[in-house]
Amino acid sequence: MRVSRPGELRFLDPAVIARLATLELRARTIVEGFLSGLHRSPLRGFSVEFAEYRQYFPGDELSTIDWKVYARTDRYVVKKFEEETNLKAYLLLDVSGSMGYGSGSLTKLEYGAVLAASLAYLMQRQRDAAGLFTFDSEIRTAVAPSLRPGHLSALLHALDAQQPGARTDVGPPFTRLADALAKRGLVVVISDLFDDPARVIKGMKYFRHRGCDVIVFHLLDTAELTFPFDQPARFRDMEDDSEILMHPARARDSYLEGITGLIDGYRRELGAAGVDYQLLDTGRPLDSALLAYLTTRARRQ
Amino acid sequence: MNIGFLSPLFLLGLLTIAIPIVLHLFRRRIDPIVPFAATRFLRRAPVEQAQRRRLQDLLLLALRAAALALLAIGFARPYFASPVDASGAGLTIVMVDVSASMGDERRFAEALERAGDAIGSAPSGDEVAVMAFAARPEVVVEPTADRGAARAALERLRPSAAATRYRAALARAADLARTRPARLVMVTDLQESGWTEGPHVALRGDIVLEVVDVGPMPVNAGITAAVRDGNELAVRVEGTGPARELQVALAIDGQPAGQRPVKLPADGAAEVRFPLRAERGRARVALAAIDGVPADDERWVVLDPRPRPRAVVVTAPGAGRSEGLYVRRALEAAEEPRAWDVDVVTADRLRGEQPLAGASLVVLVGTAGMDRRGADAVAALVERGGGLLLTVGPSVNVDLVASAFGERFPRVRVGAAGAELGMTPVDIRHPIFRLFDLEGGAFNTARFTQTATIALAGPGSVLARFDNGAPALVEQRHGQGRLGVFASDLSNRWNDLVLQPAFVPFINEAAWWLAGNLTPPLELVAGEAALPDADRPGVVAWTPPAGESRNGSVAALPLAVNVDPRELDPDRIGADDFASRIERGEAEAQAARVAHARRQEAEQGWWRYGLGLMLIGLVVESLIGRRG
Repeated sequence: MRVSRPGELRFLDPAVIARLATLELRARTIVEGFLSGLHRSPLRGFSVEFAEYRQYFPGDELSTIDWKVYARTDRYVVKKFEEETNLKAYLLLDVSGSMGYGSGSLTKLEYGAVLAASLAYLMQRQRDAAGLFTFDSEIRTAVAPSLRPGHLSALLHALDAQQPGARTDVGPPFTRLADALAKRGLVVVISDLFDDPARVIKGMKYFRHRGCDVIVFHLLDTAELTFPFDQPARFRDMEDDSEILMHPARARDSYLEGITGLIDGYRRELGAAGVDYQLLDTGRPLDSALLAYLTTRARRQ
Repeated sequence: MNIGFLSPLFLLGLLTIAIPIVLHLFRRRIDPIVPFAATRFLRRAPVEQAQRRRLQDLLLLALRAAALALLAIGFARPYFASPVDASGAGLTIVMVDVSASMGDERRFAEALERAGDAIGSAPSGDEVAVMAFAARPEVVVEPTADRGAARAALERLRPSAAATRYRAALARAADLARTRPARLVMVTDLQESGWTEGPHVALRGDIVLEVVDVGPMPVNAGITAAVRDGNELAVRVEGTGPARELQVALAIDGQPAGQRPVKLPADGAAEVRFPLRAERGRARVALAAIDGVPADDERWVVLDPRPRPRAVVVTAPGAGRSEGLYVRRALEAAEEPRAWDVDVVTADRLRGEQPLAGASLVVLVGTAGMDRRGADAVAALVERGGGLLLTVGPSVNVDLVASAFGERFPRVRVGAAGAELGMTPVDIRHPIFRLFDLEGGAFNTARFTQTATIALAGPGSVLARFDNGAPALVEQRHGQGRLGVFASDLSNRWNDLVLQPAFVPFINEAAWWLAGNLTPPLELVAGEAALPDADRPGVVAWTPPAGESRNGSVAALPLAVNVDPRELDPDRIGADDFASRIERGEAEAQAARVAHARRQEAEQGWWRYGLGLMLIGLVVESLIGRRG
């Protein structure tokens, strides 16, 4: 599964993506362009899994709610008798304030949204049920996985409406999501991971304990990776608005050391926890992200 | 110690300090704000960076404000008023006349006694200074509280052979007094001739002037002139007092050469002649008996033939014999010791300095055929101390000459022929004109039918004007020499001045004046020439400036030094009249304060340090700003 024709890569270029009008169009363009470059189709059939209870999320069909459980616990629980789909995938998109940063044509949030949309589109083509959860310090948006007609459209609308929010704090939302996700689902985390690494890794391990496969797309802007600034400036934090007056030339080495340490730490710790870690430069095409997804998807079969 | 400023208005420039302060305050938001997500990795030393930046900003602000302050203060020309002036202590300046007329021993002793009295009468707490004055003032004791030292200095004073010059002495005293309360005690014989020369003098109104009159000159006889006249030496003796017979002795090179009696009438003069057999030597004529003023009892004469100075008359080639003829003949008409060697050179041959070698004077009558090299050679001669008389005639290219002298050369525009004009000197005391009897109208008979318009473009003076007020003759210094521009020709074309009786002496006096710095004087006045041993009668060696000489080599010329004959003039003025000749008033006081302040400021020169510090500060500011 290789991208073979460079001419088709233009559809994966963030600068090209940024010029496309709607998220759906973006996602379709990316996925079709990407898939046309693959040597063989990733579409495969697979067996049915077991039933389970889980927390109700908007988008679930009302008929699937177990009213008896509701009568006893006063909670909406969805009763799953059989699998409607090959796979349930949960797209966890970070919408914290730091995701609003972008030095190029797309912010990290926009890039992440396009990535999530592309994955959702790709999943739909594979008859996988894709759900969407956005979070910062709590869950902001929840769209349960489904294969209903129009579900992709609802998911894309939800993605389109995202705005950068508050501080990143993966603890509460990850804990809540881990309880609600289907066992052995696929969790796709799209985030800049600007949180306490220990908490992030702990959250990922929690997903893993639930039997989920986890893919982490670590989004970082090109400027965050290279720190190209050279003039004295006040760097304003995008989450708490604090400012740091400094000369970039004096801080570049320590910054790059810090960001490299963060990346290396995530790669090492998440790898050890069985989490697929993929660093994405938002200035580069999305193909590596889609390939990472397909690789993980294929491994599940 | 007080701080003063010569130009305090420049201190308003201190207001500009507000500019960097305001910029600093607004600059808080000048740094661009960059929204950034990964600030957590910038926080490793953010506090230190911010503090350092703040300190750096404050340092830059301080340096910029200091630079502006130093600039403003530097332009205001600060100085520290000296403690002496600040103390307000009074100063008594005792001025003792040591001119030749004070040479009588008894009278000089009386003068010293009066001066000692003045020291003793100085108010308690005042400082005392002692000045001896004749042709030049000399402060022998600077302001001091040590009156014993002042008295001791008085005892060392001796009468000189120099003439009296009150103006220079009073100007020096005013300078010495500066802004302090001062009392001037001038011990003098009130000789009127002492007012003849010297700078303008003014005293502060609050300076007390006491004139102590030591009385009239005693009966005196002196030799006022000794001139070689062919094979004779003519000696003029003048005197005061009753008629009497005196003996005059002649010595040549120290050897007695005769003694002759002279009958001096009462308060009159007489002449005695000595035959001269020697062609060379240094002659001294002296009265046999020393009398009231010893310095004038002798006179020196150098018998050596003087080398004649060389004058070059430049004419246009082919202009005919008349061009330059009148000037040449006039210069050749002068007799010894003021005779000239005159050469006529056509302008086309003047293509370098060689034709002007050894010349003291150039008279440009025509310039046709002359190129820039010739003009540069003339300018170089004047630069070295020679003289130039430029006549603006029909064959003179003034622009060519002016281009060699530069922008300060007078602007000359030749006009058309017009009404006949006469010429009148502006100041009959000028050396060129002081010989003429203006009552007879020496120049009034000359008629000028065509003239040029001259406008001075630099420092210079108008010496004569035409009837219509336009300058006829201007002079200007250029380097060590002088140049004169005559606004018509001297070839009998545009005027008939050359046919007038005044022409020959006029051209000779102008030539000697313009070429004066390369032409040796006939003799020196004791005490006025800056030469060794020129403060007393005798013979000294004189060399032209910059080694200029006839043959290009340095040649020392023996010159006689004698007492100024005016010093023998017994006429006196009263003490009140003396005081009335000095300008007094608050303006002088203010001028004295300003002059004192300027002197202090110039001596201290703090502005240089201020500007130096400012430059250093700006360099440091630049380095810090660049690193920041």
